[in-house]
Amino acid sequence: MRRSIRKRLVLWLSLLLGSIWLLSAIGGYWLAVKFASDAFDRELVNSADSVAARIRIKNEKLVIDLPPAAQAILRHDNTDRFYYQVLSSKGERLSGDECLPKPLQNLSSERPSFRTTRIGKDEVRIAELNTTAEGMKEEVIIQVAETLQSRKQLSQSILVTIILPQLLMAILGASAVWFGISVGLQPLKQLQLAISARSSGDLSTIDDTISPEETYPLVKAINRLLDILREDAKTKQRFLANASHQLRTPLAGLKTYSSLGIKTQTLDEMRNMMEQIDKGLDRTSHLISQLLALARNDSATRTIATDEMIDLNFVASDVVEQHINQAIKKNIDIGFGPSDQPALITGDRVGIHELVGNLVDNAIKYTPAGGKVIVGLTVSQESVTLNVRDTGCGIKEQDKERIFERFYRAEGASQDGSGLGLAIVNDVASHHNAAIKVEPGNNGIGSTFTVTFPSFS
Amino acid sequence: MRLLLAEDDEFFANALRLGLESKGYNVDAVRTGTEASSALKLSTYDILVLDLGLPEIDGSQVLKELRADGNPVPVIVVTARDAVSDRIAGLDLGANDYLTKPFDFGELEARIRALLRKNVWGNRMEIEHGPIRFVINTRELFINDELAEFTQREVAVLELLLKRAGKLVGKRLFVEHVATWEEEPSENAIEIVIHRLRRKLEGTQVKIRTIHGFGYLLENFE
Repeated sequence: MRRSIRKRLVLWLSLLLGSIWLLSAIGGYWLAVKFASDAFDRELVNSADSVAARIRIKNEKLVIDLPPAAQAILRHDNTDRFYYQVLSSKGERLSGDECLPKPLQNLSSERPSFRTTRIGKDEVRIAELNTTAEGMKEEVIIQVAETLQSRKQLSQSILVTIILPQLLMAILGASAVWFGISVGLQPLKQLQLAISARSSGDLSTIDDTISPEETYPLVKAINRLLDILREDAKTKQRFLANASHQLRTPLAGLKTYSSLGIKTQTLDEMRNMMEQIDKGLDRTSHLISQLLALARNDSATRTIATDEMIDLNFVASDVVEQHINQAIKKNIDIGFGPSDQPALITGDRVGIHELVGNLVDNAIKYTPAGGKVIVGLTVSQESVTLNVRDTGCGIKEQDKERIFERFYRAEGASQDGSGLGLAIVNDVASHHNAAIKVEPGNNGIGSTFTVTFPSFS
Repeated sequence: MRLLLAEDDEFFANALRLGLESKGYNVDAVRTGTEASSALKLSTYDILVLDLGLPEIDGSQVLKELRADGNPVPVIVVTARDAVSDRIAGLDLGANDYLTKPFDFGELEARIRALLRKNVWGNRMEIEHGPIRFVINTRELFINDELAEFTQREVAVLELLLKRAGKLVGKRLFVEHVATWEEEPSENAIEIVIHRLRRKLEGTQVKIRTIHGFGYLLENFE
C-alpha cells in the first residue's frame, strides 16, 4: 500500500481537529452541567428554607407544620421524590422522613452543604443546613433531599444540544479538510496527467511555468532526467544507425561476392571469390565481437558488479603473448616491460583485457614493417600506469579528441578496423576511473597511449 | 556504359566493381563524398551508384549538390539505412532508385539496366537498326537474327552510335564513354575499334561515316 499524502493530511488534521472538538465538547458539557446543578442546588436550598419557615413552637416544643399541599409545592415536579427531615442540634429527629442519612458534623449556619448519596436504591442530592427558627433558643438541622431524575434529564438534553452541533461541525470540518486538500493537491494531479499522457517515445520537457513552488523542484528534477534520457536516446539512435551501416556493408560485400561466385565458370575464379568471402567473414566476426564488447561495457547493461583485484602485469603479458604472431607476420618488434612491483588495480578482468588488447592491436595495425611496439607498466603510490608506444603513423592533432568516438575513423584509418576499438578502450577506462592520454612518440614518431588507473587500495 | 561507384567500404566496393566490370560497365570507384563530387564535375557518367554513409561529405549532400548543379545522371542509392523515412528522403533528394544493404547483386544490376533503359533508350528493350538488333539487357548484338561476336569495347562504341543514330558523335564522347580512370583509350584506339566494327558489319549496308576532324555518324536507314 502506497503512502498517500492526502490520507496523511486528512488523518493528522482530523486527529488534531477531533481532539480540539472533543476537549471543547467535554469542557462545554461540564460547564453546562455545573451551572444546571448549581441552579438545582439553589432550588433545594429554597425548599430547605421553606421547611424552616414552617417550624412553629407549640408548648415549648418544635412543631413542623407541613401539610401535604405544602409538600407538593416543595416538589419541583412530579418526576422526583422529595424528602425532608428536621433534627435537633443533638441529632434527634423532630420531624420528616426517617430514611434520610445522618447529617454531617460541623454544619455551617450561613452556607448549606451539599452531597450526593443514596436512599435505598435511589441516588439523591441532599442539602443540609443549620438554622434557628423564630423564637427558638436552639438551632435545628434541616435536611432536604431529592432524587436526581430531573438533573439527569437536563444533563442529557445538554449533552445532546452540545454534541449534535459539534458533531455536525466536525463532519463539515473534515469535509472542508478533504476538499481543501484535494484542491491543494491539484497541481500534483496535473503533473501526473502530464506525465502519464505521454507516449513512450515522448521525452520532451514538462512545462514548468504553471507548476507551483512545491512541485517546481520535482518538475525540474524530472526535466533534468528527461534531458539525460533524450541525450541518451540520441546517442543510441546514432549508434544504431552507425552499427547497422557497419554491419550491413560487409554483409553486402559478402552477398555480392557470393552472388558472383555462384555464376563463376572456372575453379580459379571461384577460389578467388571464396578467398574474398573468407576475408570478409573474418572482418565481420571481428566487428561483431567488438560490438558485443562495446555492449558489454555499456554503462546501461553493466549492472552486475564483476570487480576484482587484478595485476595488470599478467593481463598485459597475456595480451602481448596473444599478439606476438601478428607482430612477427608484420615484422614488428614487440616488447613488454613489466613493473617491478605488482600493478594492482580493481576492475573487470574481461574489460581490462579488451582495453589492453585493443591498444596493442591498434599499435601493431598502424605500425609499418620494421617498427616497434612496446607495452610498459609503472606503479606509484596512488596509480598504475599502462603505456603502449608504437612507431607508427601517429595521430593528427585534430583527430585526438575524435578517435575515441564510436565509429570515428581518422583519415587513412585501416579498412579492417571496426571503428570501435578506441571507443571500447575509452568506455572501459571511464568505468575504471582511468585517464587516457595520447601523445606523439619519441622524436615525434608514432604515438603513445597512456592509461592511468587508480591503484588498488 | 560509364558508371561511378561511390562507396567507402573497400571490401564491398571491390566486390561491386568486380561484378559490374564483368557485366561490361566501365567503373570508376571513389571512397569519399568529396571525391564523388569532383568526379561528377569532371566526367560524364551514365549512372551513379551512391552510398549515403560516405565520409567527409555525406552521400545525401552529394546528391543534393548534384541535382542543384542540374546534373541529370540517374542515381541508385545503396545504403544501410532502411527506414521508410530514409528511403523517402533519399528519393526526394533526387535519387532514382534505392537499395538497402545487403542486396542481391542481380537486383542491383537489373535496376541499373532498368534505369539506363529508361534514361538512355526511352524504356525500349531492344534497338533495331536495319539488320542489327541490340538487346539492351544482355548487351547482345544480333545481325540478321544471328548472335554476333563483339568485344565489350566494340559493343560500347556501337551502343553510343546506335543511341545517337543519324547524329554526329564526337571522338571525345567515345573516349569518355568507354574510359575509366585506370584506362583512358586514345582517340586512335577509338579509330581502331571503329575500323573493326566496320569490318564486322561488312555486307550489312550499315554505314559508319567518318566526319573528319569531328567524329563518326551512324547513317540512318531509308
